[in-house]
Amino acid sequence: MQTPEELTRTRSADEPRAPRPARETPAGGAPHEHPHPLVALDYRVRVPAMLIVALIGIAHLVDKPQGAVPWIAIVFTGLVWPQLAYLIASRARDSKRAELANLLFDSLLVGCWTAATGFSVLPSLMMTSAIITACLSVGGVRFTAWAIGSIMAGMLAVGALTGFHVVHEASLLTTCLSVVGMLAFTSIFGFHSHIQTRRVVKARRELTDQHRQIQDQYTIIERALQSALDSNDAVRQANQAKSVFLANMSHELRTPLNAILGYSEMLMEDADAKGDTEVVSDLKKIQSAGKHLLGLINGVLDFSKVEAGKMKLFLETFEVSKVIEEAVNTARPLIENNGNRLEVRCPADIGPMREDMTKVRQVLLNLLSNAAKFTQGGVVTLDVWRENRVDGNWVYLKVSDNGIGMTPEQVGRLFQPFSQADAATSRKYGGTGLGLALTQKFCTMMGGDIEVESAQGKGSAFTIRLPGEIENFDGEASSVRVSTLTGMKLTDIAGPIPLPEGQPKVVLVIDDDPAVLDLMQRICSKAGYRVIATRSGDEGLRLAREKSPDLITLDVVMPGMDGWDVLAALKKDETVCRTPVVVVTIADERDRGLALGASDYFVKPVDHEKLMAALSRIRRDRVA
Amino acid sequence: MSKILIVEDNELNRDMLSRRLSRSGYDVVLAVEGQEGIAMAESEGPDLILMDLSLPVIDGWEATRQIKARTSTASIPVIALSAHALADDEDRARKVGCDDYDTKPIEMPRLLGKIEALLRRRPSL
Repeated sequence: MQTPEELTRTRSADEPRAPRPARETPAGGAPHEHPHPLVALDYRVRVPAMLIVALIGIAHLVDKPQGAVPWIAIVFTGLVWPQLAYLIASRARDSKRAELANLLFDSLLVGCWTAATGFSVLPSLMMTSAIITACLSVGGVRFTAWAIGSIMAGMLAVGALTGFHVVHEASLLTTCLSVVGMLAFTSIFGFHSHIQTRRVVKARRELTDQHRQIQDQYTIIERALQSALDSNDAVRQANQAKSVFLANMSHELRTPLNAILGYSEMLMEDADAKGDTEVVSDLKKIQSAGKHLLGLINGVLDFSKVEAGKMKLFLETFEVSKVIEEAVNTARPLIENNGNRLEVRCPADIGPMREDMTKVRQVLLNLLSNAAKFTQGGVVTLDVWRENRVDGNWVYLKVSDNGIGMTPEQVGRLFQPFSQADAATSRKYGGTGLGLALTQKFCTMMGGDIEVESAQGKGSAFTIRLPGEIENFDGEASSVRVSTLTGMKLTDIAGPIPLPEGQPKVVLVIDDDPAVLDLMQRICSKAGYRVIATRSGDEGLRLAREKSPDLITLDVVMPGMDGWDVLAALKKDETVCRTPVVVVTIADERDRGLALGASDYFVKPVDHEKLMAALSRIRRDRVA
Repeated sequence: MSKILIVEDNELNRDMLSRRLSRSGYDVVLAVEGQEGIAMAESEGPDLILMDLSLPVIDGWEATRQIKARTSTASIPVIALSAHALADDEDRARKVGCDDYDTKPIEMPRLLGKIEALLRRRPSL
């Protein structure tokens, strides 16, 4: 048996022999600033209890005086030990553990005194029952087994010294003290358990209150979410109204423009026939102003189409050099008008790409004519190259000039619609302020992006990056040829994708666009998933319940039951509510998606690698 | 000489278009709105109809549908003209039976090309 001091020392290190208390102790480390409440509680019980044990010892000694050693033991037990125990426990790193060790020492003392008082029935009963009750309530059954062992050890040790001397009849004083001790202990214990019960009741009441508060808050949050969703709908409607307005505007502007252009052309033919060159040149100016106005109107219309998600991509395979040549031929007069020189650096073997050719030409032309507009007597350079990167093969188109350039503030506003560098710039150089905003939108739609570097007075460089790889696919993929604004193309499939370990996981893909379904199927199978696909929300819900997939990807804008409805229904259903749902959509409403319980949210066009990474991360999290 | 029926509510555009087509050597008849267009398709028997889509009362889509529904006028090719450059317009126009589609402002060479192509397809009676 270890002494309490030894226990105190070894407890926070590895303590193979120390008793393991039934309950978890606080993690060891820095000494406790506040000792465990048990320490104070035990102290209050130990002081009177040990006093009574000492008094019983005294009563026994008065009958049979035995020299100095027992008196020292009495003083230690009654006066020193309770204080010492408190001191040890409250200074220990782990005060609860120390206190449990103290209780074991209490048990040892009780064992000693039981033997020392000749195993008299009443004192023995009083002392052992008290210590066992205390140990049971504090340390549990296993700890009590250790305590009983400790009592036995004490009995054996002192019993061996006194020759197991047994007293059959205790003195009156001893009996009285035992009875008083028993009453005192049971009273203290009873009072203590009463306090505990009250605490439990109080805690339970508080818990109920908190639960109610949380529920109230939840209701408030739900209402707020609902109103947010409602206002979101309002915003969407307003946006729709704006698009309709712009489309109508465009119509109203085109009708008179039609007459202007038509009549001026007629007059020009007449004047040409008569040989009136002065009138012809004036009419040409009307013509060119009218055509410029038409260009602006078309820009506004394109922009509203992109905003409304109605812009379509017409994918075709074409030679990059062909588009470069066309754009350069159109832009060359513009560039040379301002006394600029055009340099084109494009490798002869640049090869083909699969994109919307008209849009590639449009964005390139836009950058070239911008460079021409803002450069006087300088050089406009077009660099074209192809690059193989980790995330795929890319075609780069870089248009740089040594014109007026831009300040960092101007660069910051560059891609916002209707915001040119400043008002004076637009008066001097013309333009709607839509060109670059559109260029950026088109690049994103085509799965690429645009970057700009510029320094005021030194010039600007715009770099467009577009996916350059061509995936060989069968005729079935013709549905992809006229893909709506998904921005995801077959070229997205290429590139290294890590295979998930273990047996194939099942992904349920819900999207109304067959092109997206086809694409997702390819991407997911390539990443080692098994794919179930459906084009309707209802069907998706049914499949989720029947096939219990590991993951679900969900489109929002669908006819009939839309993605939000499906998501809400999934999260309400207990059988499927734990299945992670990744929203993949053109609607940029990430917060709404996450609020409704989506695990992640992707806005089309989707970077397929990021999507796959998210899927495998979510799957891993779920396993863990 | 081929006869072309122009159905157009905007006076300037009607005048301009009719004069330019006359110069290009067509016989031109004019209708201002949809109902009149349907009636003239029957009475004038044009070789081709240029149909503006946004017309008051009976719009161009409805007028075309009715022209294509009558046996006497069903074979007359119709080119829809619209200032709405939205894809929806063209889809709807083709659905009701328009043979071709062009956007305003009109580019004369392009429109003439479309007219020629349709007239060539239809043997003159």
